[in-house]
Amino acid sequence: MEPTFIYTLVLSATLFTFGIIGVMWKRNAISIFMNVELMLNAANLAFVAFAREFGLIQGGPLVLFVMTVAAAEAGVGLAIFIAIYRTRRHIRADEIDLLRG
Amino acid sequence: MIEFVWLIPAIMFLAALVNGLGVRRLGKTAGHIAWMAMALCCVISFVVLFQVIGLSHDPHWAGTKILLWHWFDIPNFFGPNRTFSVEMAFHVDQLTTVFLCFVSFIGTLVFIYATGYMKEKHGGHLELDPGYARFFAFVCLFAASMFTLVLGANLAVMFIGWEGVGLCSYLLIGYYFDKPFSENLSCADAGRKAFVVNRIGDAGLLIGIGLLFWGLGTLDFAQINDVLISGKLADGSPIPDSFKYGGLLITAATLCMFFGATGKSAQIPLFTWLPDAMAGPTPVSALIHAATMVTAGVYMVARMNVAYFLSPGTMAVVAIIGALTAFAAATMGLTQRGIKKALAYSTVSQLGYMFLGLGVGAMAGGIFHVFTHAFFKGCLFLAAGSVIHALHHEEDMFKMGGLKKYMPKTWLAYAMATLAIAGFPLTSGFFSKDEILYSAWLSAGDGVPVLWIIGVITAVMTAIYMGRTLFLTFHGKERLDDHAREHVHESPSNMTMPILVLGGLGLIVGFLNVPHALTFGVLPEAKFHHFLAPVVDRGAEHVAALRGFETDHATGMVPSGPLIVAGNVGEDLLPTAQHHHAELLLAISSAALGILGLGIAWWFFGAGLTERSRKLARTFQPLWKLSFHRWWWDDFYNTVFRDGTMLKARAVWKTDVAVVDGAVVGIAEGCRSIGRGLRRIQNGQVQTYGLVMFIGICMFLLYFAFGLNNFLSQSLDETQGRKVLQMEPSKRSLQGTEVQIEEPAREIVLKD
Repeated sequence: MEPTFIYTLVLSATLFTFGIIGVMWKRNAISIFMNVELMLNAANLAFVAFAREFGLIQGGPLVLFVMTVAAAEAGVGLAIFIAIYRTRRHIRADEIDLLRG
Repeated sequence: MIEFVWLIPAIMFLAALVNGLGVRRLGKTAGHIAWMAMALCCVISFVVLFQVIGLSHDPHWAGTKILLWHWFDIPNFFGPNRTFSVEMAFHVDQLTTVFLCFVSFIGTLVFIYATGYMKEKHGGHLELDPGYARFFAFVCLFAASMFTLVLGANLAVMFIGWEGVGLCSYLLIGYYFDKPFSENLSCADAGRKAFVVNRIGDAGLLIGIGLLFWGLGTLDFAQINDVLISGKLADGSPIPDSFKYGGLLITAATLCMFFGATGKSAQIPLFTWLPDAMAGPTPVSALIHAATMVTAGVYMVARMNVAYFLSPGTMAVVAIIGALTAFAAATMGLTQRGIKKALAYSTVSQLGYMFLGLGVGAMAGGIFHVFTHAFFKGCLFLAAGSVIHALHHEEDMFKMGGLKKYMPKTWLAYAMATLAIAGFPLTSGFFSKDEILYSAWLSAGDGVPVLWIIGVITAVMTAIYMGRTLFLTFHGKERLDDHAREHVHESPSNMTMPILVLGGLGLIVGFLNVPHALTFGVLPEAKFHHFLAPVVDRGAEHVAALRGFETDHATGMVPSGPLIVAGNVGEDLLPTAQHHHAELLLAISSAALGILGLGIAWWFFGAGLTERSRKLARTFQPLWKLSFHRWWWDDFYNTVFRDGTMLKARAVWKTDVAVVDGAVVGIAEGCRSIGRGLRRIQNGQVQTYGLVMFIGICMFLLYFAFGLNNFLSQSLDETQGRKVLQMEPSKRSLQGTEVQIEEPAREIVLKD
């Protein structure tokens, strides 16, 4: 087992953690979105690392799926942000709380 | 004509219906419909009377029953194939006929009078009372109910009428429902009071009827009498011991029924509604007091006389209650200021007399007093109404006086009726009261005649308070206020005619029942009593036979009832001559007492309200207060029962609010506050949701990390268990059907 595998996993976990912290912390919706992308890519990295380490073919296609989903998500999400911005003139996530109980 | 006697209530129901439906349109016609219907009933009643007089020569005739229809049948009620059937049936006998005649006759006069009374003079022209047709619809229904009551052949039909008059009295007493009656009572309240008090009595009546039915198995009057007299039930078995002479249950049943009578006929303890019944229009007061309603209780007791004679305890209670009521109400009547109030207490007092008569066994005497009282009390009320009408609804006698010169006809009628009720010699009140007092004296036997003494004192007081109303109203100085003085006038002839007729008859109807001692060999003797005897003396005869007493039918004048109540007759029955001496003596003394009473009234009130009468009130201040405040009887009921009920209701209400509602509302409030707390979690911020989700996932992962072995072993167990379970059926099929290929195939599936 090469040490690069472990390093790759550690990198993936770090990226994921950064992503999560960013999602929780950031107030701007675009920033949150970028952090979500970071998390997705951390996961992709982990997929690829596992696939390479164990010689499995499934990792590659899964990464492609994830990227497709991420692209679709970005399309839909950005469209929502633009719609919100048109009515509120901002996209601060903490102030968008219409569903508050 | 007897078969068509059902026409009498039917006509009145029809008249009530027509007036009720055309209440907005009929106008003046309503009154004409009513009095003509009543007059027609009166004609039918008198035809029936003459037929009954003819029939009663036959000693075996015990009334004619007219079956209209079967009201309801309960098959197999008393056992197999024995139906309990209540018939809608009428029964005509002497007692019924008497009531029919005087109720319809007085009713006709009252109705004619009412067509005049229910109009007001407004600036020169007469105007009908706004509720004219409504009034006549109600009084017609009132009369119809009374006719149903006296015609009913069984207790159930009688009960319809009983409740009907109660309902109509409520409607009519509360006729001026938007007007106040006294300082703390509206007319609607007075109506409600009458209804509620009557309902309390009715509960007693129902219990009594239930007890009788339970013991005797029938509601029919004739059958009840037959069963009680023969001592055998309809199926031939003997009646229960407690329904024999002096038995516990028959005493209880008759007592309960008498309690109903105290409600309807305004006796202690339920008399308080009658004085407040003055809230109704005066013709209604006259109807209630003279003909319908209050006589119902007396009728019921006389109708059930066999049962009453069989329970001497009840008879004693009836007599004592009657005497006490007569006395108490007479004292209350002495100081009342309202003319109708004074007359109302007079009615209560006279009803007490009637029950005293019934209770001491003089059933016919009691009924005869009902009969004579109907004439003079009807006259008194209508004359009082005439005065009140003339003075524009002024009822206070202290604001009257000297009306004789304005209203001579009314005065004449009122004076005649006063003489009669005060027991002036040879007037009707003299004869009827005398018979009751004589019976009360007889019933005491060898003991002290306490009831007679009370009755005599009451007779003096009756004369005093009646004289007082007469003198205060019609004599002395005028004390009218300006409004009344403007309006005072003699009433129109359709009002004066009925009162003069009633007053005149009130003087002379007494000659229908002249006691033997006073016939002096020329007058017909006790015709009324002889006529009624087959009905109302049945109980006395039966009990006399039962106890081995000789009844004295030959003279007829010795009231057998009181002697039986006295209980010391038999071998040593007083010689008839001695009786007649005693009776003559008593009659003379009671006549003297009546005149004495009128004299006392003249002395104090003859000149109206003078220093002399005021001094009288001052001298006997405590007694005056006792009388004027009606022994605080109403106040007692108000404090104990009305306020007590309110207090109880309030306590229950508070408990309901605190405990029951508290529990329900508490649960609701609890849920709400929990919800209020939990709502904060839902703050609408995506990032918070994300954080919670993240924490959840973390915890899930931690569980995997540290509880992994546990989790794995569990899931392994489950897998094996499932395997075993799935193996079993295939094993069974192996053994049973020898399908061998299936099992390895399954194994492979599972392993995969």
